Amino acid sequence: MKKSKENRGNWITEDDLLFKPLDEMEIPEPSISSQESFMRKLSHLSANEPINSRKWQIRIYLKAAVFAAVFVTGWFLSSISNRNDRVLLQNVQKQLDSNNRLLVLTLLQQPSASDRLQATNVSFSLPNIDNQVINALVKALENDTDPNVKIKCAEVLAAYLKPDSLNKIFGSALEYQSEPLVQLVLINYLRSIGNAESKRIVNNFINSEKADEFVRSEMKHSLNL
Amino acid sequence: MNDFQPSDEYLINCIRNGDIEKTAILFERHQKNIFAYFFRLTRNRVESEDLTQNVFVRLIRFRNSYKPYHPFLPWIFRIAHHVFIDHCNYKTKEIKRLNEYNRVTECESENDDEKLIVFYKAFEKLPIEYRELLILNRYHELTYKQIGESLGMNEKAVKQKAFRALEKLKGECKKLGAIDE
Repeated sequence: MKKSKENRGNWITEDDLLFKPLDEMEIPEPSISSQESFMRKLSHLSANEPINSRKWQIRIYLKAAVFAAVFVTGWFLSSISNRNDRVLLQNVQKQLDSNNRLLVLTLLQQPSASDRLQATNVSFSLPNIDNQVINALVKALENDTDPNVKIKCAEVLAAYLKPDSLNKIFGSALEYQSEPLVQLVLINYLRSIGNAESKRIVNNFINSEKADEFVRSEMKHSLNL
Repeated sequence: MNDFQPSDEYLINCIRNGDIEKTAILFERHQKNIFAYFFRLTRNRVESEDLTQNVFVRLIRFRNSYKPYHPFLPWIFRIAHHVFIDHCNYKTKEIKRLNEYNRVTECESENDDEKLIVFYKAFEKLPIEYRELLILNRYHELTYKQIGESLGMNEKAVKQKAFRALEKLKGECKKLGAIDE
């Protein structure tokens, strides 16, 4: 065998004598049968290789397809279930609001003041109040015999209605009030609205005869009149 | 006639891409070289032929471990190195006597001259790694760096081990009287 000295270190070239028996050793040729044997193995391997490769690819695709199918089915069922749940929940909520509305209207008619107070508390749970409930609350504000119910009704109306509506309702209600506490509460709500109309209503009421003496003096004191 | 001779690196890339029949070309091209490597280590023709076939079967099996654009020869000698190590381990377990394996093979030594027998007595006293290193360096035209890639060590370690291998071989030859003191 021809030896390359370019890539080798000097230590080999100095020891050619040492390697002389190995250098001179005759290397036989690999047998033809060995070559034929390998070619048989190779043809066997190449025959199996594409099939194995294809099987592997098919297995991957199948797994991906199964995963996608499971995912899509799950998502579809979940969306149907969610949609049904949402619709059901909305119906229940509507039903509940309707019941609460009826409850408010019914309780406001009750002779017991605590029931009527309960009505005002329930009315806070309504998402919005319609004219029928507003009329019932205004009626209670004007005519109820219990000042606590009146104050609670004013609180509910103040929470739901716009300032213009409140000016009208509270201005009108003041005409019916004889209890100084209710008068003070309504005046304070009107003052908190703070527009010209509410100021005018408050001034008119303080200067009228319907205003309680205590309320008038308190208002004049606080307004520095 | 087509004179196109694809490089080893091109062929191994084809094999990596699934065209494993190209292994036949590599086999024809490198069979003698790999066979000679094993024959110098084992001095047994049948074993060397089996080991050579194993190298090319592993080449197919581990074709994806070839890094593109890297030289092919150190990579195939790395496979050969592992095949030989596995073969030694297998033989060791099989006969449970490493010394017996390391002894000069009787059937091959019948026709050998006295100097070669003595050389091999000294040579086979070296660790397998040293023997591979000396043969790769002297007969297979690999640089220290490429030998390092084949045997799984860095270039500096190859140089150190080559020096030690040679010193040890000299010492063994001296003990057997193959070379003068």
